[in-house]
Amino acid sequence: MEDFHKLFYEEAGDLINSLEENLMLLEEDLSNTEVVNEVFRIMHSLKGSGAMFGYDNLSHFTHELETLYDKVRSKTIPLTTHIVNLTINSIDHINAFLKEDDNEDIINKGKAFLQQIELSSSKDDKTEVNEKSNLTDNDKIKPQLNKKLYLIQFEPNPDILNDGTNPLYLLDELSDLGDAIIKTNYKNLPQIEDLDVDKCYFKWEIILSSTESRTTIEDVFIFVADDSHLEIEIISEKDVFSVADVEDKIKDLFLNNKQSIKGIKKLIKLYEADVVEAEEINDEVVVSVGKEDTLPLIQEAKQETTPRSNVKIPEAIKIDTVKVSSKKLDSLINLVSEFVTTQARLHNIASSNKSVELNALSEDFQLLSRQFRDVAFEMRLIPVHTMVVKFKRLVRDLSKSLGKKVQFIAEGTETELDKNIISSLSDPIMHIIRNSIDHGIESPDKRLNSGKAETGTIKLKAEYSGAYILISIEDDGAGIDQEIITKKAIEKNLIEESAKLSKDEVYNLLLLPGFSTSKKVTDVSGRGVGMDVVKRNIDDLRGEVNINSEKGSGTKITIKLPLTLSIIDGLLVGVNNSKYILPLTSVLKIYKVSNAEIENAYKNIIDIEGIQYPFINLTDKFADAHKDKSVNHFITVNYHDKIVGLIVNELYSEYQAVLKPIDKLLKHTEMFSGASILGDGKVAMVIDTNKLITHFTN
Amino acid sequence: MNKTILLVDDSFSIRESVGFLLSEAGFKIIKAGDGEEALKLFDGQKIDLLLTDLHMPKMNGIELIRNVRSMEDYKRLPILLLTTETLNDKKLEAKNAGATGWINKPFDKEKLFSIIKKVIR
Repeated sequence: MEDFHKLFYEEAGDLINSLEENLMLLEEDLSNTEVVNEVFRIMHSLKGSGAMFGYDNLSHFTHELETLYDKVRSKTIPLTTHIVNLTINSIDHINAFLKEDDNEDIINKGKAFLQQIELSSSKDDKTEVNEKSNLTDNDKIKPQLNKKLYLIQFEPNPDILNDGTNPLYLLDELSDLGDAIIKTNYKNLPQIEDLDVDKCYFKWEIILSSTESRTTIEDVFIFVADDSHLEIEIISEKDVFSVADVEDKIKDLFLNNKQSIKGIKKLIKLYEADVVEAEEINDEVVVSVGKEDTLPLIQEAKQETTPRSNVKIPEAIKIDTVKVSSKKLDSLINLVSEFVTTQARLHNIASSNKSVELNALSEDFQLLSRQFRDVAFEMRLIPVHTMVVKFKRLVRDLSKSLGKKVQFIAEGTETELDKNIISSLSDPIMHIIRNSIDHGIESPDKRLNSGKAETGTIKLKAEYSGAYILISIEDDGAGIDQEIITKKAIEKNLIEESAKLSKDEVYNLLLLPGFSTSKKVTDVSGRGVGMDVVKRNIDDLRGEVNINSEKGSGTKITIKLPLTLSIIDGLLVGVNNSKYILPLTSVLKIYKVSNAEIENAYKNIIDIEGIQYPFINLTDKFADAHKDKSVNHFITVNYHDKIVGLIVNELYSEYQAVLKPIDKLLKHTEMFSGASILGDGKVAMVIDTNKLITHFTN
Repeated sequence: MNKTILLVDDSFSIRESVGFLLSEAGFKIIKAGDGEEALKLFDGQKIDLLLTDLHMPKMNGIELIRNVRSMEDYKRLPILLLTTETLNDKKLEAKNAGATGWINKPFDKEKLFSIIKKVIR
């Protein structure tokens, strides 16, 4: 929230300016009700925002002025020049509070000033109400550890649905406060032909076992209490449900209407004698990490370790999250990698051994290692949001220094990505945003002239797409001029003058090293470090950059990234007696083709099941001394928006590949995203299908 | 599906800070600075909760609520009022106009979410 203090400070400055302006107007014309309303609203804003950001004294001060102007507004008191003058003087006090809200001297001066004001407006009882509500807040914080049993009867007004209330949420909220047994009473439900879908015919009876105070329970119904029938009754001060079987018994009697409410109350009184008072609180701490739903095992274990006994773990010391240093997480991931590799060896030995038992064990191991891997990865995921604050700041500062008006919108920031990816992603995105503000968004005048809103928009959006995440940065600026780019590329000898390029190809020129289109170099972008660096960074993350632009209406840059960096699910294939791994996410279908079909293929196109696929024969491309001409498998993969086939000799199995980086000195490394050590100790290259296809088609 | 919250307040700092808290919690946030602007945003998108200030320029909170309630699609939209009023008559007026409930300013993160939980899940 720290960031927002500055924001408030600036906003308050604006409000005060406008207050000053309005008061000047009021001085000239006391009867201008519109201006009176405006003054009231400014005081109100200062009060509300001030209180939100901890300027309590400022808030209190402006509250009094707001009250005064409310009275002027409602014509309870007449507006005089004297009051307007006083209000103008009040601005100095407001400014003082803004600088130092808790300075005694300023507070006292403010008080003296308010007394002057009070002569013009009588005091009301609002402050008393405030104090009272503070008191109940404190009550809530006080932990009350002994459970009580409540009986709650709730009969909402039949029209309750009409103001957007969903009574079921209130019951949910009640269930969150403890163990609730909820009985729905349908007695008022009319025959279907008389049923009005906009009405609520139900009432509910709830037995709630909770440590919460009565006020907290009343608070659940705070919005509906006025026009509903609500009864809350403590039927036992003791934790009757801690006695064995009582909860189940009462539940049965209550829900199946075997006992009247009166009877149940009596029964509970009888059981009270059996309650063993809660003794010292066990100092065991329940730890659950991150999202619970991904850890079913831990959750089950947790339930077992908290038996329904009289030893309770108080809410207050339950810990929901544990902070772990990222170093430890990194070493956990390394261990997982080793584990997965070792598991592959076990699998290898088990399958050659033909022992049923060993094989079963190996399979269990494989399943566990996969779950282990997923859980470990999940721990490293952090929301995209963590880097967004930085971008907001950048947009604000940069647009100011360039004299442009830009608003920044972030969507889908809860999307999670591997921590390592996020940390290497932040710089490229900063660069893209910088470009957008500098080259994309036009100056306010220019925007108005071209019929756009004065303020430009930069939108960052993150979303999942299969095993990938898409992050797009879109602006509504001037867009990219294809002609200028083509010209520039020709100037720099990046393309032939006669070259005819598609739109995409033109945009891709921007990603080439040493390309900068800005006519003059500003100190913001255009320092020679261009989009090529962005592309290189994203390449290192096994991602892709895609540029789309419409001249005059904006540019959208999309970054596509794999969710995790180091382990992928792959398909283990053989080409000329060497093994390779294809990422399973890019594999679509696998067909069998004959040698004849391949040899007869015209222009590298094969017809399979009526569809024509262009293909790349890896047994040709990866041929060394010997070329294996045996069995041929045809694997179709996605390549941008097309489908391309890859031909291999052998299909082995699905394979969890631990990616190890490969030396850049090796030739043609760009089409491999890494190497992986197989169970038999051999190395398999992991193919990046997109880059492989690009490599062989160019 | 993420729930969409329309946040209406004339204070930029409140819009930003409250919007930040909400989007951090996974809500999709759209913001408006007054009732008129807010009303325009109802076109063409699904809104699951309206959080609105009371006193705003152009169109105030109560008028906004009346306008929203008159739209067939939003007859049952949960609406919470962000208000500094501690007196009940303003709240009653808002309730009568169709508000589901209110959140008293100042509020902190816990209070904000505990109240939002009452009306959307």
